[in-house]
Amino acid sequence: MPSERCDVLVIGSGPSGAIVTHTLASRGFDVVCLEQGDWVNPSDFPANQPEWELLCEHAWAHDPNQRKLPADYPLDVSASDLTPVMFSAVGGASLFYGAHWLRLLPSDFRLRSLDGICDDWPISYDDLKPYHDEVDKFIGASGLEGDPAYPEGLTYPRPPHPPGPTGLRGAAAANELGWHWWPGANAIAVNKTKTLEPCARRGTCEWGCPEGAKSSFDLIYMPQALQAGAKLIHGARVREVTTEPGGLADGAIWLDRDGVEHHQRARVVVLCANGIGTPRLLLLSGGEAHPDGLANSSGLVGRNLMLHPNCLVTGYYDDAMESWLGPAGQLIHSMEFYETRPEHDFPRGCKLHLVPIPGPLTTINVHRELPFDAVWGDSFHGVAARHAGSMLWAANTEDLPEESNRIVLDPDLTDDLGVSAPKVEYQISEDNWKILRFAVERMEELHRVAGAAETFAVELDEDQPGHLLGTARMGDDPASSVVDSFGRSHDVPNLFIADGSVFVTGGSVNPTCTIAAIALRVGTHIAETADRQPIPS
Amino acid sequence: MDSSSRLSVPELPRCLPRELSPSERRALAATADVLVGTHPSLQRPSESARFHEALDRSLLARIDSFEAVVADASAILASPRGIEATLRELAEASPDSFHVLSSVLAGAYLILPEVRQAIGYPGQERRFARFDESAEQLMNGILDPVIERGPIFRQP
Repeated sequence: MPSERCDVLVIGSGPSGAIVTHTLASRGFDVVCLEQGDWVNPSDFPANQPEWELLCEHAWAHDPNQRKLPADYPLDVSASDLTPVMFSAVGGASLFYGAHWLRLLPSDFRLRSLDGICDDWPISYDDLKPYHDEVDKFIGASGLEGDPAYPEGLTYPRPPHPPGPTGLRGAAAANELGWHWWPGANAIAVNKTKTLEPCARRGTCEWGCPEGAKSSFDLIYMPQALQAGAKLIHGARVREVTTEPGGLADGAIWLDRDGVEHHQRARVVVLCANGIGTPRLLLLSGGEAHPDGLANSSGLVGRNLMLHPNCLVTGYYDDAMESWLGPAGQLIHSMEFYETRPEHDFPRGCKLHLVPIPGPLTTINVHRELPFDAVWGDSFHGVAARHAGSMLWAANTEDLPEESNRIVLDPDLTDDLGVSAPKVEYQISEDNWKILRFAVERMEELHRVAGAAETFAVELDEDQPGHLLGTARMGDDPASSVVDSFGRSHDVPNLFIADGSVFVTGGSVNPTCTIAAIALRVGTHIAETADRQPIPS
Repeated sequence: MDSSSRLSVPELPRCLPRELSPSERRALAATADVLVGTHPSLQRPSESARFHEALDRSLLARIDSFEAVVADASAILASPRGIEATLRELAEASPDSFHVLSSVLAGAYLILPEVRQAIGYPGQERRFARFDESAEQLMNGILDPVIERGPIFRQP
């Protein structure tokens, strides 16, 4: 079923898709955004219910293979050390993200120049800064200026959330150790901001914000995009980006809820389907003319997958600290071990963050590694009561790009409409294991200095995070990259990518902040170069 | 697919798929009794009328495991080795089954307001920050050591 041709077709409505859609619609372009999921209301989220921790174990699990909602597509993770967090809905996985809102550092863009590893990005910290500033202002990002982990000029439009008793306890420990820490920067409204409500500090951010305070991109950017005239089609599962005989993209085939095929025609196509969905779609596209997938002359589509392996240490303290008090979100963060250091036997490092623990069943679960009698029976109430005096240090570690870590099409697995599912092939490198172990030791140290009575470490948090990066990297050389610095495909000049796929390296800060700035830069570039944009006939 | 069905929100049933028999309820409560032990000021699950209401909520939250949880509890109660010994065996031999069973039962117990009060957890509540709360916590010199050490980033 063919459609009217739109100016720009955006595939995916997560952070990047919402921003590109808004950027172009507000400049008068005719934009259609296709989203495979549909709307989720803040009142739907599990944290509205007292049994929310149980709801998060399955029905609202981070892992789509467990959750199996109609919008989810399956992932083959049999060859992966990690199970990525994904969520298909208007707003994408930002419904489940923690909204830690930190930019990449200047060094992140220059690993080749500084450390002789990987590749430099074709853009710099300064290139992205104005886009960051604009996004931060739009969403009302909260944080405190003056962080010495960043160059001067990083300001936030809203003040930070209070660190609370746990954050201050962690901060005092970092001070005692002489380590960097800073009040957490978060994309969570401290007060009413456009379509966002003020944070009520429930601490359940990673399972959906019942208050509508977190900047999930169904609540910010997408509403403004629709107001500006964009058309959002949800329940639209894209199967293929189509091309005309001349090689330009001319739209996409999508399947509705009943499996009926539609063809949305477009002058420009922008992929915003995340670091797994975007390479999947490219590999599904191109037909006989591109047997290795669309925009893949470099052979790099799907490769260099980076996932930021996480580790964590939960500490239990003898005094009550209202440990459930959010946001989570990060109360404080530390960049002390972010950069490459000569004394380390690994390149790069990790970003640490202190977060609350919102529910007591989680505390029971943390203790499960102990013998039966230490958790159950007459120990139970004592363990549950420890919840009030708990806090969690967690770390994103920097995994460097490796071509063998990749997304491919699974030869057997499909979604329920018969579209090939992605297979994740991802092995943690030896250097990355060193960073994970190092981070655990540092977080143990922070707890010890803070006076923890007991700690529980997880060297690899296998079902975190949802940082899906690098699978269609940007670069100046078409032989070693998929898109240019503005997200334009080297092979298909009216096909753009604006999500985490374009990262050259991943840093170890939570990436949505950078994805948002890149998306704004891509959208702005499409608008500013529209008069010379090649389009299909 | 029904075009009115929701794609991104789980559609959980409003009631259990079938009525629990009195013996099944007894088995679930008795297993919960052993798991959560005793507390000087709290009723045991088997003594609490409200526990069964909470149990229904918990079972609905893990509706995927409903029959397995009920069957495990019934088998535990019927075991001649006794509830505690059988639970220990389950924890050793089948940790996934034990995890779900114990989560549902402990989760139900932890929903009860009197239990939450006893462990010092207020439950999910809205706690808006005061407008000056952040400044009060941060503008007291706690950041001075961090600022005094100066920039820590590498400039390319």
